[in-house]
Amino acid sequence: MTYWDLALNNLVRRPARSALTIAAIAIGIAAIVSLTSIAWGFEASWQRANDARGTDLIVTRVASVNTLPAPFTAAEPQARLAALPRVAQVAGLLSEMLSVGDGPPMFVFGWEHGSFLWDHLELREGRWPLDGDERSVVLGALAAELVHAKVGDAILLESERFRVVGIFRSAALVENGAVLMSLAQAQRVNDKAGKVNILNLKLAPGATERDAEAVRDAVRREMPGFAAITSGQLVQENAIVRISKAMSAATILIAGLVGALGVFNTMLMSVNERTREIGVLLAVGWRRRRVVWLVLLESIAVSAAGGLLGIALGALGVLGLEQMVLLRGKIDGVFTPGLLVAALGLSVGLGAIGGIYPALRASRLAPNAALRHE
Amino acid sequence: MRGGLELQSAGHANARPPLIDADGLGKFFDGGEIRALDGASLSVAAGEFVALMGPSGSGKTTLLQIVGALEQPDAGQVRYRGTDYTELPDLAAFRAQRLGFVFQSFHLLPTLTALENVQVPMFEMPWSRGERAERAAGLLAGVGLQQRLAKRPAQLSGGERQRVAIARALANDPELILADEPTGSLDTRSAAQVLDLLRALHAARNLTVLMVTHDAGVASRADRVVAMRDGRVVAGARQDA
Repeated sequence: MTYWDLALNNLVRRPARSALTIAAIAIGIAAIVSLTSIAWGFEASWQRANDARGTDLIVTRVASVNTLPAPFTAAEPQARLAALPRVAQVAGLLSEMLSVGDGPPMFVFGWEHGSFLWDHLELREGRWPLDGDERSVVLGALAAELVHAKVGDAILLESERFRVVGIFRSAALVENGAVLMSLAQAQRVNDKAGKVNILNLKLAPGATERDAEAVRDAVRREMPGFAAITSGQLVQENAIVRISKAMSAATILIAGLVGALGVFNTMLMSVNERTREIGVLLAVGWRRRRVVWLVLLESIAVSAAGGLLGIALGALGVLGLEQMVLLRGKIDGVFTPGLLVAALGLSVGLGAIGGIYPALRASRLAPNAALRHE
Repeated sequence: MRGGLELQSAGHANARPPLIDADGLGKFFDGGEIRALDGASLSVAAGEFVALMGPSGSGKTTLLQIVGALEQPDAGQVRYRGTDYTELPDLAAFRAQRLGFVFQSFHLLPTLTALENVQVPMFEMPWSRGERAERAAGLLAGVGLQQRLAKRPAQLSGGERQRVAIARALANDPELILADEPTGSLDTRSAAQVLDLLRALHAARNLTVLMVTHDAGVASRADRVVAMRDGRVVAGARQDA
């Protein structure tokens, strides 16, 4: 018999209680893993999309830096940006979430026709829109699958019919699951004539960090109300990313608290029930710190089991959500070894935190009084 | 009393040196209203089999618990081989290495087998898992339970449980066995077997045994009977008494 055997023996003797505690921790850890994975995936997907477009800097409203990019009239700022040194191209982008026919809402991107934004996409079928005035769309491969559309079909956007002229693939899931049209068409269908959410800047070949900084300074200085930021900053400061991260953090806090309280309650009940047995251990010469370690080992074992189960449930949950029609193409969970190790570490930590008081309480029992405990 | 003990030792050159020397022990509750022990003194020599006898409430169990370092006295002192308990650096280690306990209600861990129960005190010793198991099996064979190693307490009779408890008390090869009413929960036959076993172990291992009982028949199996009443030792406090 080992020390581990003794600890596991104590957990197995109350299988229902141990299983419920494991389940409670597993649910908490699953929530943490899935929400964090979705938040990270969301951030990574948008980052990939921005990176793939080859955008060096993004200009948006100052107020939009910390929130959703609000549409603004593009003409004047676009002209001023184009005139800045080392700026090669300025391309407007308007994005909205629209229902496609009877299907679920999808991202609909309007990109300036002929701009560099289109360059990274891989056309799989059909062709690109001929010009900005054509009432046509191209669909990401996943979007085509979701709306069951193929080249030549018509789809309804805000009650207006658009011809699907091509299907493309992108490195970014968010684009694969999107409907893409010219900026002019997007402005028209959204009733936002002349407006964009952001202006994408491509710097001249050979431009350096200093050049980028100079552009940012110029925007700060000469274009009040606008800010030039990197795509990374836009993603990190994006309200949806921030909200999803905040939700993830709140979940960690709440699930952590609930998990620790669950372990605390379980171990306290266990220690109370076993007062006489702990008295026996102390009477036969167990040192108090050995009793502490025994109880801690039990609490850590129960929470680690909950952690492992929670990681599996969280991963399965995200995979399940990714397959839901409503969410396909919108979430792309990221599971890094770091996330999994952190989740397991958190569960072990919860076990230690929840178990420390019951363990100390057990170790401080007077052996004689404990032996008399009824 | 220390002086008295020295005089006694000086006066009886052939007397065995005391293993336990309890002197003027007091244990009080409710602010002194209840005096479980009221100046109790006792000396037990190494290798003695002593019965501590008295009516219910006489303080015999309290005295045993103080000798077993399970309880602190409010007055007086206890010495083990001349060392005061308050000077022992680690009472847990002292209990683990020097003492073995046998309780009336056995106090076996219900989810562990007999073999595992006997190993419980051995965690404090520097023995490997294999050594612990081997030693426990040997001890259980020594109390006649070699066929019952894998049984849990609920699967054993009262007499068998007490024999497991005795094997557990011997786990770390102690010098002193403290038995609190070891036959109190047993039928006559099992009680006799347990007493025979304690006597046999006492003889074979030269163990010192201090046994609490209220049963004169059980007490008669001891080498010496110490009588207690109202928290005091009233007869047989010393080997030469």
